[in-house]
Amino acid sequence: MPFEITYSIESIGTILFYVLVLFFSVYGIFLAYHWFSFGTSKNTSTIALAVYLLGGAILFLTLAGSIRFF
Amino acid sequence: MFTEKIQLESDEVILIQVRKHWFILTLQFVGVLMGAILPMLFLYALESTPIATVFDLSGYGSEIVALYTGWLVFIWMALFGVWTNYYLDVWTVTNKRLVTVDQRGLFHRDTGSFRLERLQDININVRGILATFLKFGDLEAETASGDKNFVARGIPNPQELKALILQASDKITFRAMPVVEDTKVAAPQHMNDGL
Repeated sequence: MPFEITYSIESIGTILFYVLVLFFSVYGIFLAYHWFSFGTSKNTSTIALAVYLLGGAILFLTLAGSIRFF
Repeated sequence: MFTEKIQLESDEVILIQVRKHWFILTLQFVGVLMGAILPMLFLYALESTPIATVFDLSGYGSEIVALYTGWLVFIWMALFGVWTNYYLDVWTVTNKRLVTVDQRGLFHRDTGSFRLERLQDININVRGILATFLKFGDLEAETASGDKNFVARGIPNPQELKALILQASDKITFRAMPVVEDTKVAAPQHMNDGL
């Protein structure tokens, strides 16, 4: 047997976690670009970005915590 | 920002910027948030059926939390997608023109503008009980060329916006007209007969 690949549910969860972080970040960049380019208020755009990142951070912390207990 | 993009003239001022009514945004938010409770309903339904005896989920608490949190990440992103459409979908009335932005998606955006002297007519549609009580509706601006009508859907206080646009339009139109001191002299003869 030349090599063997073993997948654990934890490693799959970790990979999916990083894919989700990447997707969330890229989407956030698209949103922020639109808010700051076409938005009417810089303050509103900044607050929106802060809320998006803060909410995302809470969700990702919960996700990371739950993956750890797989 | 937006005001730099539309390049205001030196003597041009923004009179008002209008977005959709808060009720429209709330409806869309509720629609997205319904998606957040779908997995819970699914799990509840699964537990109450005979399938629950085949799939025993009691030992997979953290996996279920992880899946649900991952789902909530998508819901969170969708909420901001909805809000972005609301935030960027804006009608700007200046003392010279009307600039409309219709944000249809993240990379689909229709922008239009016309000078207020080209304004022909404004129509308002308020349909339904909620729209009547919450004071929102559609406003359609017809231009003199008639090739394209500008429609704003679900905007708050359409009557007030109509009045504001007409007022600004009248100011421009009357400023452009020659000043006539004596109407009796300036008007055609048949109109002066009764004076």
